[in-house]
Amino acid sequence: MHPVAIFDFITVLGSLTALVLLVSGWNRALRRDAKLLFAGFLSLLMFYGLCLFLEWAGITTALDSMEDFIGALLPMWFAFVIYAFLQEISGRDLRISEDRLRRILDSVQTGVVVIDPEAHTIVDVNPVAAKMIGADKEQIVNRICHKFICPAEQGACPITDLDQSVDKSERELLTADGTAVPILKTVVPVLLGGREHLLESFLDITELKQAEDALRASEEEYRSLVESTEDSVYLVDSDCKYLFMNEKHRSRFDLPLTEIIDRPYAQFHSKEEAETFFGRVKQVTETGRSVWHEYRSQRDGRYFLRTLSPVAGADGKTVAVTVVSKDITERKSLEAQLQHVQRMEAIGTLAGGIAHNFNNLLMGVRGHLSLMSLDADDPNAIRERLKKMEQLVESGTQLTSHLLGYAREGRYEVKTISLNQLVTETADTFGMTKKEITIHLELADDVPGIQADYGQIEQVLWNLFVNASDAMPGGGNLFLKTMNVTHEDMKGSLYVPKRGNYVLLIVTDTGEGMDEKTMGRAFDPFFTTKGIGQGTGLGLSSAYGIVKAHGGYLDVESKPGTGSTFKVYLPASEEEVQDVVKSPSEVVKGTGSVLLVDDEDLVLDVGMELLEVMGYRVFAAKDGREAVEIYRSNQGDIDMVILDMVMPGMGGGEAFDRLKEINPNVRVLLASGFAVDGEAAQILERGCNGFIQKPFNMKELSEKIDEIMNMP
Amino acid sequence: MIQENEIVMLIIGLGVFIFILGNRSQLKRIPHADWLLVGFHTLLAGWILTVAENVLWGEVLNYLEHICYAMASLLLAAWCWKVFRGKREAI
Repeated sequence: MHPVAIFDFITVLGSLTALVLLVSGWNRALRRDAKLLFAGFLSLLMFYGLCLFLEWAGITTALDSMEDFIGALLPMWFAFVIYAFLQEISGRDLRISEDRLRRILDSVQTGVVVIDPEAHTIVDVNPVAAKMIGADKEQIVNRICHKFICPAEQGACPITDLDQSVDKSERELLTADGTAVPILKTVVPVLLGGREHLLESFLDITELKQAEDALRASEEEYRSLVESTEDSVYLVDSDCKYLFMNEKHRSRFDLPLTEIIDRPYAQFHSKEEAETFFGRVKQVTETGRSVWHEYRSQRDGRYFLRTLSPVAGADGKTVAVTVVSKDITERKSLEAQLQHVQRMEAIGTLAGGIAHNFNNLLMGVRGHLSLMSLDADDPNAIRERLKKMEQLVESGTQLTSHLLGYAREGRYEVKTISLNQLVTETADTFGMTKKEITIHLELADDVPGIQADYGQIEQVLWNLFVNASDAMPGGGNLFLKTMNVTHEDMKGSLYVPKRGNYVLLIVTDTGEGMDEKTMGRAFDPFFTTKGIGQGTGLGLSSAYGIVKAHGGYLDVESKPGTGSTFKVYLPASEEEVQDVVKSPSEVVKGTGSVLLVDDEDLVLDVGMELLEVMGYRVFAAKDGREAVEIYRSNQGDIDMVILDMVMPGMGGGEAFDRLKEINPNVRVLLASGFAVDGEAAQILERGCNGFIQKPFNMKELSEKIDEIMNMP
Repeated sequence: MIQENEIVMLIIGLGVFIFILGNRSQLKRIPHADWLLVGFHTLLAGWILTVAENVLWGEVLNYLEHICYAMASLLLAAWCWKVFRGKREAI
């Protein structure tokens, strides 16, 4: 046998073996058609090998033509085998893809249905969709899709074009029990089993819709709230750009909203208004606190109360500012009218009070004068009546002093004084007169001096002490306390204190206290709770005026039955405390010449007599011009000038300047019935040596003259 | 002398070879594809040799031709063993 036949025999055996293995493992791997084709190929190879074996073994050559035919068929058959294998691979790819799709459909949390677009039937459905519909998969599959999805579109389904995709459209899902559920649907075409299908995924947006409705309703409520108000409401960012405004505010611009929003505030307002507004917005943005202020619009002259409030972002920082602007023009007008009425009432009360008190004094004077005419022959009786008349005049002087105090004027001699010293001295004196009241002092050692008129502040203390005493008719405790405070400690007051350090005096009594109504009028002039003839009603009002005139503040706290507390805040001074020289009790006599200038003959006559009694030689002038002439002529003989401030023609101010031109070192004492503030203060600043308040008595005048005469 | 059927067999075989080359990456995904493809290539070599033996080294190349057929059948049997009897392997 030819050796080649052995190889052919091996070919037959190998092919047969492969065929047996294929048949034995028929259920494993590969598709059936691929296995059949491959089995055919192995069979052909086996027959081809057999033909070759029979030929080369020399058994027969009858199969040569069969050998040639199979030989040509083998590669062609193998091509079919390879093609079948490729089909197998792509089929497996498709199955894997579909399997993955199935897994995805089963795992996603949105409802998904696969629809045959031609029949409009549901081909597949995932568990979430089945649950949303409320039916089993078997009850859903093969049903018309509009039975459940987009029921309103049955017969007019817009999605028949497979190239079209629908993204996030709001539709309806009809559940098995007939409930319509809002859904957000997305549709995409997919290739399944070699055919185009529609894959519709949808999300139940019932809660979202409810939230949207709630939000819309809430927005509508807020919008109606903002739009129905009579106030202007708007929102600006930190750069003062308009973000929002209500119709009320927009109407003030006379422009459409589109031409205002996103535009800066400065575009519609003056530079000054814009800068003020920007400053307020900056303050709110930086502090995160609301601020309010009144302003007058330059656009229409109306008054507004504007409140700016911060709007915090997610990080807590202020990202915008809400502005509520209330038109208070009418209110301001009413307030002005009310204030006018109140002012007129106050003037009426004041005038009535003054008239009442002065009438009483004048009645006393007139009565004594009448009696004096009857006692003309009795010098002792006349002297007695004159003394009583002088007391009445002194009462009148005190009354005008109180009135000046109420007028917040009369800071006659401002020096740096120690409040502690003043409180101690006044309390000692008061304590001696009111033995039934126990005074408790708690004075801080480190309180600085205050710039004040010693006598005026002393009057404040006396008024407060007397008020406390009147509140404790059966005796009690009076607590006096001083301490250092700043404007920061005065927050919560009705007024806005000026920045700086203050010395605080707290006067607390254990008296009967005041109710709200009484406390509200405590500082009104001539308001008193005391009986007729027991008080003028000017004590607290003059104390209030004096404290205000010193740049300070006076507060009161009280409740019926718990006593009252008065707080006096006076600006602290950085200057050294000056010694206060107490006035001598007797008239100070002197020598030298005095030029007395006054347009009132009565004052001039009395003044000349007083000066002569004090030992001075007197020159008299009736106005400023005459005074200047006399001084120019007798410059060497006149030691000082007593100059009235208000006179016809040349007044005290001009006369003082002329006298200064003649003699820069001229000594001048300014006398006036008006307070030291205003023109008098200006004259003092120009170098006038002193001021004396009319009416003055002989002792006061002598002290002033002595003080100026002895100036270096 | 070259026979016509041998030329036809060779031409179709080369055509299939080209087809296999073109789909090589896909065919590689067949389990144990190397055995199958090497088996086919060996068969193709046999078809080439059956034509070549008519030109030179007739006896030697004839031997080699039949050896190739035998080898091809054995390689295909081995592939069948691996795919249908051996460990399962995912496609």
